[in-house]
Amino acid sequence: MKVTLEYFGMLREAAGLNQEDLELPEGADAQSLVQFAAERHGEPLRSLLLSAQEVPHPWLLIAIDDVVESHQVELAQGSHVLLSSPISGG
Amino acid sequence: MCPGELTDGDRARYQWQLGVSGFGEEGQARLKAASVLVSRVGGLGSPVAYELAAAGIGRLVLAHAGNLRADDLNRQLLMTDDWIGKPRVQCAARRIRELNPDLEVVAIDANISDANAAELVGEVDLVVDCAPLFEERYAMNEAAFAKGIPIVECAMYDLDLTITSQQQGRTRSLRELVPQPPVHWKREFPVFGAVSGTVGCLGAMEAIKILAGFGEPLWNRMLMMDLRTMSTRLVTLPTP
Repeated sequence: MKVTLEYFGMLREAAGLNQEDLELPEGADAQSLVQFAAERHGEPLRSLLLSAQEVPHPWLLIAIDDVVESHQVELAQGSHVLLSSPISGG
Repeated sequence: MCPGELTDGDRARYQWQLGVSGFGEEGQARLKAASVLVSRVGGLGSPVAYELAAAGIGRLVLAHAGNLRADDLNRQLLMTDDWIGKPRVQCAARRIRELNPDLEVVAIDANISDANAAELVGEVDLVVDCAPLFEERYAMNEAAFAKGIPIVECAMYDLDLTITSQQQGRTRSLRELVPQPPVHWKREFPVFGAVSGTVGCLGAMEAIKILAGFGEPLWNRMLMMDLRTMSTRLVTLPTP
């Protein structure tokens, strides 16, 4: 299935692009999408997405079709997924 | 005269906003009776505090430690070049008093921490979080939740910004959304003053809406803007 992955903030900078269309196996969840993106782009994006245990950082915000969901939620054909790492003020 | 009761001088000063739909004299009186903590008053907090002062918030508590540096001046709009080397928060308070001498302005030369959060948050009706470090933000957010008052969470990076509003019983807290500080977040990051100014104005408008009781604040929603492409997303957050 095809999903659109959009990066926000530091993740966009690390990925070097705003968004991309990706082909994933049917039934893939948000966590597997993050792992796929980390593998596809390598460093520095990988460290921003995954912990030492190779799972998404607990602070990673994942919005699917503009609704923030758990990292285990299943994706669907045509899903728009927004990934963001928290930013702050100053 | 009751707290928040408008004078003829108030009506003259704020006449351009008194006509805003859903606001009116009742909203203005609520702003006049309100007290808001803004921390810090740098690139983000400067426009927040300035817009709140212009709008007529009765009492502003400004918290920010340290002396002004030359590299603050690309974004910290309440500062002036002649103030370099002197306490930032005093410069911010001076500029706000020049804009609106009717307000009470309290300048605290300290950042928010676990040691002072409960005391400073305890004396206000709303908090606007403009702090760069997650430890500060957690302390402020937890104090606001403990008191049950609203807190507006503003953030930026590069040309991106986010804003959401939170309150005990109505939304999740900052720590529920961000369970631990992101390890890669750095105190210094790339930003234009126009970006911090944009989110600062949005944060001030959130505070005004919440205090005056009109419009639709960003409860359980986060506005995310990319000013590089001028794209905007309004995402729904998990509820409590």
